Amino acid sequence: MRHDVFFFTHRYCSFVVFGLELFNTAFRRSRFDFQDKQIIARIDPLVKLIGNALYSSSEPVIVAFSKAPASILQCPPKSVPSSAPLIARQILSIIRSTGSGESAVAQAGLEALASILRECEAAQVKEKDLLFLIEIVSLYL
Amino acid sequence: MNHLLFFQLIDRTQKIADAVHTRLLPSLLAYLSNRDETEDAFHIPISMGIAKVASHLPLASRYLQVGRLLTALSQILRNKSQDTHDLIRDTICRISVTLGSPYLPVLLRELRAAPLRGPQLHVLAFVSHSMLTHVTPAQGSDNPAVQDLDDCATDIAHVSAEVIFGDSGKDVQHEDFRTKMREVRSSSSKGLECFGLTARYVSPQYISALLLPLRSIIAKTSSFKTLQQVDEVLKRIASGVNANARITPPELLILCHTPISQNAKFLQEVVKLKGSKSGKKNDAIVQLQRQVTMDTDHYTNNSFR
Repeated sequence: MRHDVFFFTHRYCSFVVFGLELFNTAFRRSRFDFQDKQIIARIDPLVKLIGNALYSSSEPVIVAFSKAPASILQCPPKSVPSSAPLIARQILSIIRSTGSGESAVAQAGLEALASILRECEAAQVKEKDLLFLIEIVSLYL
Repeated sequence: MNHLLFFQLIDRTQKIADAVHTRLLPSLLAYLSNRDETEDAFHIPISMGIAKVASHLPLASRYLQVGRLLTALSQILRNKSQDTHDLIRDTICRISVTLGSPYLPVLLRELRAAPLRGPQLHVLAFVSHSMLTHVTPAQGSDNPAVQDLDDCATDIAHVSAEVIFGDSGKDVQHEDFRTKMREVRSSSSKGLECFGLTARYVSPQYISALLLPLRSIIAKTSSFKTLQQVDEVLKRIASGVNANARITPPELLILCHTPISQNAKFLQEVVKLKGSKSGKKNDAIVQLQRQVTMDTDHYTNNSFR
């Protein structure tokens, strides 16, 4: 095993989380003006990036990235309507793969999905998926 | 007649500047340097006067004299007495305000240039932190103090990273480590604060100066504790950047996008099977087990913080 590669690849996750935290905090503080075309043009590539990162098999990365879709899908960039169903579907498959709602990944996924369903109309979640979500959640009621 | 008076005035000013430059300040600096440790309380406050006098000199001689003063002060910082440390810290803070923002990078550079080691590095970080909190305006205040730390970012990052991640920082974390020095005990938290404070007052292109030491630490370390500290530093930088009034929203979005996109390739699980051509042939004819060598993908196997 090449140890230099080992440490290098593992740690760079911290920088990704750093970038996401910057975005989430700035969004919470309403620093972005969505009427500004320049801002929209810069947010657009982030939608794709965040969507892709949800396919990572690493738990911490998914937890970190799960916080981002809820914010970014409320923005009006062009790519949101096409990305929202994919992101919602991917979060659902993450929850399915965990098997229960107890793990940190599932918790983060459920939280993200709740805000996506509430805020983003473009995320067309199917009825059977909603049934699955109710089944999972009802266990803890 | 007026011209004559004007030239006489200039001549007189030049003579005063020469006298201050060649006689007054060197003798005061010599007095400051050749001090007895028991008399620090009388000697060190003189440096404040030296700074004030030097600030009225012409630019070229001003830089020279300020440099000499700062070198003398950095040497005194090597003293072991707690009272001397407190006194010199207070004096350096007041000097940094008197001289203003152009001299802040010079001040930090001179402090770093003094041959410091061991506990002196903690004292240096502590003094740097005091100076930064002293010169930068308090949160929410509109006090027009120093609001530009661009030229200091590299020095601050170096000094702070040393007490958090360096050998001196590791010594403090050791279970058997005991010290009476206040600076040594709290230097790590001061270093963290310095990172946050600097991120609040630098322009976007200097954020990388704060991230570079972390990048090199990440590449070298295998310790879980160090990684937790890296995360803590990144959190401080993130909160500093978010409070930074000099960073516009488009620049902030670039700052968000760059670390994610540049490092996103590390997030993907890529399994590369080693080809038979590259592998060395074994002597055994029968291979009992399939040899699968994974090249990367160590990232996904590791738990996060």
